[in-house]
Amino acid sequence: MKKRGVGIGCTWYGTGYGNGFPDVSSAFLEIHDDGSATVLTGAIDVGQGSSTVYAQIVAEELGLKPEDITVVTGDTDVAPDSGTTAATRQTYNTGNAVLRAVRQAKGKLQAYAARTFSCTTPEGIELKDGYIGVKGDPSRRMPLGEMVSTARLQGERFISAESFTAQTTPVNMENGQGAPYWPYAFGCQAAEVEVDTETGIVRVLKIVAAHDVGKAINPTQVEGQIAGGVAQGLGYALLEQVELKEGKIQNPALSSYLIPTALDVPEIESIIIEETESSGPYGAKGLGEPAMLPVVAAVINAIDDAVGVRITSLPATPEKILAALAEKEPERR
Amino acid sequence: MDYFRPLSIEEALGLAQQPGRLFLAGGTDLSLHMREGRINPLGLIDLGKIAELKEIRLEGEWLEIGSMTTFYDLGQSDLIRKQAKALWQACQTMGSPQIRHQATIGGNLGNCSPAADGLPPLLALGAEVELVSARGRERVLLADLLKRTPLLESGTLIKGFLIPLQGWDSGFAKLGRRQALAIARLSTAFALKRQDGVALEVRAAFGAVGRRAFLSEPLAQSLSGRVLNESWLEDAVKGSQNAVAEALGSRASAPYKRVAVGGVVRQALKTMLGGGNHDGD
Repeated sequence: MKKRGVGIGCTWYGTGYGNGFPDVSSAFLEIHDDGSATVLTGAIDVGQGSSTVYAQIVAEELGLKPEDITVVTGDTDVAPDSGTTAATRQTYNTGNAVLRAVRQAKGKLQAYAARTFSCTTPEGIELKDGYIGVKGDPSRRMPLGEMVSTARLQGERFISAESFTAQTTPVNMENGQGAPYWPYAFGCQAAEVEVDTETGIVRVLKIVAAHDVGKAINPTQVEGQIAGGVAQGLGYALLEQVELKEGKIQNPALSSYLIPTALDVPEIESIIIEETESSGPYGAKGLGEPAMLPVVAAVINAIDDAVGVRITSLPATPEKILAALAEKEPERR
Repeated sequence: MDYFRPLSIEEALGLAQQPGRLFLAGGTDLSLHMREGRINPLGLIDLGKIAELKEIRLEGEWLEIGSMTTFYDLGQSDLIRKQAKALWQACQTMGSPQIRHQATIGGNLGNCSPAADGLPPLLALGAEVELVSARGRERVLLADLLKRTPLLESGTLIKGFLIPLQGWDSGFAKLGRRQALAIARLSTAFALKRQDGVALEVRAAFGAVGRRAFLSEPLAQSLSGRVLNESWLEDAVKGSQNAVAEALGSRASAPYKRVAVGGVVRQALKTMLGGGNHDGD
């Protein structure tokens, strides 16, 4: 018989290296005389989309389009270090470094433009839609590239170097005080499952995932990271197991160490929560790891709701579920 | 290593006279065995260009399937869907789309993995196998062939399968660890000849329980000649559990599989019995 159940799982998760470990990201940036910009950083985009986020941040500040921005990463000969793509830190940490870098170069350009337009303060200079000019005065503006080009002929370039360090401290082991991580990520997911009481097979029918990302700089990528995290969490909950025998891995291949296929991943409904993180770029914080964390609890709780057995070791294989059912209802055997 | 691509069965058999040469069908198992160094043939005889081996056709009272027919082609065939439903069902889920395009039904028998998805349906459908070698031709019931060791004498080519057309319904189901790209941990195929709500004859086959797929004669007999109703279905489930328990003995997988087979059998029978639609359309 197939029985359905629902369950939820919650997560809070400290992002970044934490515990006072030097968590530093750096970025170099230049605004070019053709109205484009290049940002260089060591942060590696492993598919999660960090390079896109940096292009969006630079474009937002300079009033350009993301496609006007060249992002150079991963070349240690030219790009400054930004630490590992790990710990859910590249949008927050390196995003902050990129934001600082672009604001530094932009400040120099605003100062130059203020002189050109006889504007009293650099703050009165606005960069928008590919133009640079005096706020509220359409007669005093020119294409961004033209301004940078003019400056360059006079020997001025708009180049910056910046870095950002996450603020954490080790925990005091005596009293438990300290700020071991910053910021924290929050999420909650609900799972609906169907358990076959004869085979023990669990089919996950739907996942609803709500995650606080501070600010979704790229909402499509947020949805993608939630989907990826859910798929990985499903593998953790139901499939993935390293089989060791005398220290040797018995299933060192994707044909024997199984992860979910497209057919195993259910409909995923993402809910993006934007609770501003004041220390993040535009209020943003990371999502990478937190997206996979609540899945296990939600699925295990849903199995319990469906058939009334508590699975206490992962993965929740059909064998474990049938064994637990047999223990609960001895007449099954 | 030598590689040959004959255009006829005669040419292939001639090439197979030399020792150390193997027939190559889809290669989805053979190439892995070679990469792992489990076999090291001196030559491969690729059967992929022999058109005769790729045919699916009705011939009198028989449905003939060439050994080099791919799982994809079988799974797309209306003839297979109407006349050999269990085989058609097995072809929808075997491996992945890429593997289904490459792997062949003849190779499935030649490799004869305990978990071979194609064999339980062919067993349940009462298939015969046509073998050819330099020594001549032979037609043998698949159920009998699977009792031989070795399965095939060297230089023997699996020409194809012949399924008798006697108005049998059939159904297949398997248990894998996931929904795609999953090796069967348990598979079953049932075939049923019925009239006026009575199961005249039954065949029940199981895969991935023991060395090779097999037919359970006692189970088939206990279900034959009885009215098709709820208690028949429950007896089929219970009987399958007993058959699997007996086949697995004290193997580590026995405690799970001997129970789980019940759900798999129920699924295989559901498509046949549900709504009483004989051709399963």
